[in-house]
Amino acid sequence: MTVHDIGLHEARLAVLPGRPGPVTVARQRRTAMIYGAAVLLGLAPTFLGASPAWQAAGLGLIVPGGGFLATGGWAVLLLPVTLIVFVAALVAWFWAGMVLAPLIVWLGAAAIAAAMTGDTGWALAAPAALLTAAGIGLAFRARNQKLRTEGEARFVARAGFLPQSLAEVRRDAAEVPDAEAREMGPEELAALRYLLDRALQPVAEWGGFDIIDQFQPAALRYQLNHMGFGLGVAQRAYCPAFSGYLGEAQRNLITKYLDRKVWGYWVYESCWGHLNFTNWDPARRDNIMLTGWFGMHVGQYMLASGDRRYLEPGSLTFRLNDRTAYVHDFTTLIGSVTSNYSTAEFGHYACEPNWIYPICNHYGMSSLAVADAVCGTDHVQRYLPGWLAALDTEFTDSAGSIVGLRSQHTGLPVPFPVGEAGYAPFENIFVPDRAQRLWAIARRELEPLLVDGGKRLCMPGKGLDTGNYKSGHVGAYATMMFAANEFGDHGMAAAAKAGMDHDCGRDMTDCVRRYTGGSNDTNSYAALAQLTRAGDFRSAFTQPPAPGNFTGPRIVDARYPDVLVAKAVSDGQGLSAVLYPGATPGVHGITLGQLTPGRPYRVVGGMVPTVTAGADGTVRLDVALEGRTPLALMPA
Amino acid sequence: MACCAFALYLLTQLLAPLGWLRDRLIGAPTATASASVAWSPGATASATATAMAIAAPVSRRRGLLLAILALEIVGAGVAVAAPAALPADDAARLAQLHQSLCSSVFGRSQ
Repeated sequence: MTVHDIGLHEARLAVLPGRPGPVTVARQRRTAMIYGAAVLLGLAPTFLGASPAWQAAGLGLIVPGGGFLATGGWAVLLLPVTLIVFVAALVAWFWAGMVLAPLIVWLGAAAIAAAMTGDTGWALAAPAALLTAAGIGLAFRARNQKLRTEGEARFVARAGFLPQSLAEVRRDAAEVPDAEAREMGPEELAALRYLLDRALQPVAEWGGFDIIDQFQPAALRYQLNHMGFGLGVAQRAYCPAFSGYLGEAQRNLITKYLDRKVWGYWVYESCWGHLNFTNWDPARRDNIMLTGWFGMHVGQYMLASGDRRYLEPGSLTFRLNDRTAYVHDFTTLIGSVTSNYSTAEFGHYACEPNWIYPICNHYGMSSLAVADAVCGTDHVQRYLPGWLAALDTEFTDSAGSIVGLRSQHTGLPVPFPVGEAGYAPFENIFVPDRAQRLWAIARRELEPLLVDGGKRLCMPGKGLDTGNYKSGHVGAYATMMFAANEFGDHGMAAAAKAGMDHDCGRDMTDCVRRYTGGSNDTNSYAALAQLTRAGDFRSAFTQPPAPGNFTGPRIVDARYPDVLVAKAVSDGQGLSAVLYPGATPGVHGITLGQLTPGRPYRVVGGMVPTVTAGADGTVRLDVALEGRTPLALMPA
Repeated sequence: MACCAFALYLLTQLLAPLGWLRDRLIGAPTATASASVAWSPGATASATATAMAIAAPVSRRRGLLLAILALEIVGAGVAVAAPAALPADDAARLAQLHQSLCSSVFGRSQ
C-alpha cells in the first residue's frame, strides 16, 4: 500500500513569503491588544494619583520589573534582574511547557515592587517604564525587519537556482537500488552494531543512553525513536527475511519507551502547562512529540516485519503506578494524532503545551502515512491538504523556509534551527515532490561549506549537539548525510560523511562505529544516515517488503554478535543471505524457519549441501563464517 | 537527577555571557567524549574513562591556566568561608540541597 497521491504536484517555494497566515495574524493581534490593555491598566494608578504602591504595581504590568522604577533608589537595579529572570522563565516555558512561569515572574515582580514601595516613589518612573518597554519593542522590531530583509533576498536567490537543482535531485532520486541485491557492507554493519549493542541489552537497563532531561531534544524518547528508525530501515531494506535479534532489538526499544522514565515528563507538563492535575494520559491532548514520533516508530516496525502485535488492545500501555495505567495500542496512538489535527486551529498542533513545532508535525503526518500502510486507512488523504495549507501560510517565513517554532497562544515565532535538510526526508514519506524541492534548496546552500575540492563538508563554528547540549557537529553532518542518501545524492552524502569522520572523532573499536564527539542521539542518527539509500526512509513507512519475505524461508535465530546478518531476502521459495562473523571467524549455527515441513532444501554456503525441514518448518544450519559469507537456500 | 540537569541548563543560559568571556580569555575547553557513546556491552568504568581521556587531550598551557584559576577560586573560597563550619558529610548536604530545591518543584527525580 502506498501513500495516496492527492495531486499536490505544483512546485512552489511559498505562497506569499513574509506574510503570516490568518490564525497567526489573529493571535498576534490578540496578544497586542492584551498587552495594550495591560499598559493602560498599568498607567491608570499614576494618572489617577493612586498611592505609590499602586503605581509600582501598575508599572510592573508594562514591563517585567517595571514596578521597581516606582520604588526608586537601589530597587531600580532589580529591573534588569527581573528581566533576566523573565528570560529564564520564557526558557522554562519553551523548554518544558511551563505556561505559568512567565506570568508568575511578571506579576510576581509587580506585586513585590508594590510591597517594597513606601510613601514616596520616583516621579519619572512612568516615562522610564514606557521608554524601557518601547526600547525592547523597537529592538525586536529592528531585528525582525533585518531577518525579513535577509529572508527576502534568500528567497530571490533560491528562485534562481531552484529549477536546475530540482532537476538534478529528481534524476538522483529516481535511481532506487535493486531490492534483491541489497546488502550491508562493513561500514553499515558497524553502524548497525552501535544500535544493536544498546537495543539488545536487558529492557530495564540503559547503558549507552544519555540521561539528562526528559523534556527537550536529549530526552530518552528521541534516542529510542532514532535508534528504532535505523533498525527499521535495516529490516526493510536489507534483511526483510530476518527476524531473530533484529526483531527483538526493535521490540525492546518499544518496550523501553513504555517505561515511566521515558514518558513521565508528561505528568509535569500536564500540570504546569494544561493545569490538568488528574489525567496525565500521554496520548490524548497535544504531545505530538510522543504520539507522532512513537507512532512512526511502532508503525515502521510492524510494516517491515509483518508483526501486528501492537494492534492488540493494551499492547502499548503506559503504566503510571500500580493503580493507574493509560491503555493504548497503535490504533489509539494514531487516533490521538488525528483527533488533535481535527481541532488544530493552526493546522498543526503542539508538542509541549503552547509550542507548535512543524518538525514534530512532520513526524505526526508520517505516523499517519505508516498507519495508512499498515491498516489501510486514508488519514493522509484526509488531513494532508489542510496540513500543507497551514504549513504554507502559518509556518512559512520570508525566505520560503519553514518557521521552526510558533507559540500557539501568542502567535509569535521563536528561532528553532531545523533547516530544509532536516524536513526533507520526512516530507519524502507523504509528499515527495515538495521533499525534493526542500533538498534541492538545501544541497545548493550547502555548497559553500564544501572543501577539499568538494569532497568534504566543513561545518563552521563549534556546533551544538542537541542530544547532550554540548558542542559538536555530529547531528548536523548526520542530518545532511541522511537527507543526501534519501535523495540519492551520493556526492553530498560522501562529503557529509567525510566531514563527520574528519571532525567528530570516528572510532571503530570492536568493529562498532561511533563518533566520540557526539551524543547517543546524534550517533543513532548517524547510523540511520549510514544505512539509508535512495528512497529507503520513504519506503520504510509506506511500503512493506515484497510478500515472499513474509511467507518464504527466513532466518529466525542467530547469536549476536557472533553472526552478523548483512542480507536476508526471500522470494517465497528460497532464501538469499550474506553473513559476517561479528566476533571470531569459525563455525556458527543459525536457525531457519517458515520452510515447508519435511521438504528437502539445497544449501549453498553451509556446512552441508542439503537439509530437510523439520515438522515445525525449521532447521538448524551450521555455517563457516570467514569474512563475507554468502548463503543460499532453495527447494531441492 | 534529571531535574537538577534542567536547573543546570537554565543556569547555563544565564551564565552564557561568562562562558563567552572565558573562551576569549583562556580559550574554549576541549570537547570531551561522551561516556554514553563510548559505552559497550560489558564495558568497565575504567575502560570508558580511558577512552574519554584519549579523546580529550588537554593542552599543557590551558591546563596551567586552569590550575591557576582553580587555585584562585579555592583561595577566595577559603578566605570567605573560613569562619564557617565545614559540612560533616558532603554527600548528605548535596542530597539535602537536591531535596530542598529540586524535589519540591519537580517531585521525585528521575
